Amino acid sequence: MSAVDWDLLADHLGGALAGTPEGDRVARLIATDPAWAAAAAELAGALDAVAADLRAVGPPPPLPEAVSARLEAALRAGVSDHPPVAAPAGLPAPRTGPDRPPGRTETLAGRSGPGRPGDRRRRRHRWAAALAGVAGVAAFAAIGLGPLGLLDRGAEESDGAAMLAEDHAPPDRRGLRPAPEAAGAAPTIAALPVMTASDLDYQPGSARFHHQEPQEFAPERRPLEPDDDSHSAAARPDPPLARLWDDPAACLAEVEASHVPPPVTVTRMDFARFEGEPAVIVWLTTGDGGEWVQVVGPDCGGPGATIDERHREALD
Amino acid sequence: MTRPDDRDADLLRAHVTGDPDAFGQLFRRHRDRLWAVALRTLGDPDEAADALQDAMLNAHRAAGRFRGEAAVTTWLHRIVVNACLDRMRRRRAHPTVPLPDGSHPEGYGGKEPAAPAADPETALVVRHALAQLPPEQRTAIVLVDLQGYSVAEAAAIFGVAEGTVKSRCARGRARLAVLLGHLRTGAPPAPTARGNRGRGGTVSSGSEAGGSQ
Repeated sequence: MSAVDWDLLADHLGGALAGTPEGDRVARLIATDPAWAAAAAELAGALDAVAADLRAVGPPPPLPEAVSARLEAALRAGVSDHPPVAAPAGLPAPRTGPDRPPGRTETLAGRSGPGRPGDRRRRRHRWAAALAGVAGVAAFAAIGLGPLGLLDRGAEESDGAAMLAEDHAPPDRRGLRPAPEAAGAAPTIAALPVMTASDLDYQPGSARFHHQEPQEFAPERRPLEPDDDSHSAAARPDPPLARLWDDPAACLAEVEASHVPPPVTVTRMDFARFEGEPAVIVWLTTGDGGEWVQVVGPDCGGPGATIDERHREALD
Repeated sequence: MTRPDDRDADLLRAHVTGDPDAFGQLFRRHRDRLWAVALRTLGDPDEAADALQDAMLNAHRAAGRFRGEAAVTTWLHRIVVNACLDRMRRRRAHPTVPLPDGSHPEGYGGKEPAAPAADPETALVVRHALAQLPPEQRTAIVLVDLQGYSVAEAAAIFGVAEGTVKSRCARGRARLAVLLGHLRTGAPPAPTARGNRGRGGTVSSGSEAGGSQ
């Protein structure tokens, strides 16, 4: 007899393991192991009781008028203090971020792989401009709405293909890249996150979230410097994370939008692993000085406006 | 007839292009549901009001970045949920010192305004139990079991796979079963820091369910 894994059993009864080898394994255990069978029966009964308890909670109270008035006043004040960002008439405003500690090298991660150095610089400016778009440029008017309609039960799921093509098109077709002659107004290097590919394996509560030693980066995955022609293909993360390495803008937009209060500033990204799985570790600060680390998976910023978040911790 | 989400999209577009009243109209269309999510997740009306205000101001500013890949209401819910999750995680990182009488100055404590619950006493006990769940499990149960969103809708709000939501709900309900006394002693211990089902492969604590289940 094997010890019952109650979390796994709960996942099985809740349908989270449907169609997976793990689900098949748990089903076999329930069928053949008396301890698992008894636990499954007990948990199933207990879950029915929990469902009844949750139904007893009843409907929520409505939003109190005083709170509603306060929120609407705050929104009206927000109109004057923080007007919505309109479609760009010129260049995206440079992002701002907290002061960097002295001695910390600000690097702009270049791109490895074949191509001319100029290609690398253009790729860097391309996603840098997209980051500026994330910071404040409205692409809303340029993107047709085809909502998935998940909360409108009568709607057919939209194709979304046009939106996806728009979303993954090179920035010049989206109008987010600044004109070359205005490069001086592009986001400053200091405002862009450090990107590394350490391949370290992080865990919840890892001390590495708070501090990393430079020597933890394997030589072939050292922090990348601009115009460093010694980049090798080995410095580029493995395929699950390669899309994010090449173009992190959409993912960073999702990360930014998942924190309050603004402005949210991403300071570092490490393409690594979390509990053994490929993941990007993102360090960021929020408008109230909060410091966070957030772990996202390879699907971050992918189709469906997913963030693919795996973990999040407050560092302050 | 204009579909609800078309109306939301029109209002958001109007807001982005400078209509000073549009976002307020959008907020009024969804405020009760957004308030319910914040209140049920955080448990305290003042905290819920603060979180909702932070979230709406964030949405107000970030409207121009809305990519239209999900419904506007999904996007609003996601911003509120994330604001609540950040508050809960910060609370866990900096737990408050209990007052001399043993109560806590903030957090779940049955401070949710009295609502006409079917069973007020059970409702209070359930709210206390919910407060002890990990933030992601608590929020998943609020969305699916209390607010009635489907797993797919909750997954869109969280921005994660449906299997992840199923795992959060399943493990949260199992923990509630222990906290509410529906599982006898010898069953799983009180809630631990373990998270949710891993993304395929081996099970590991804190990992998330994935896939397209």
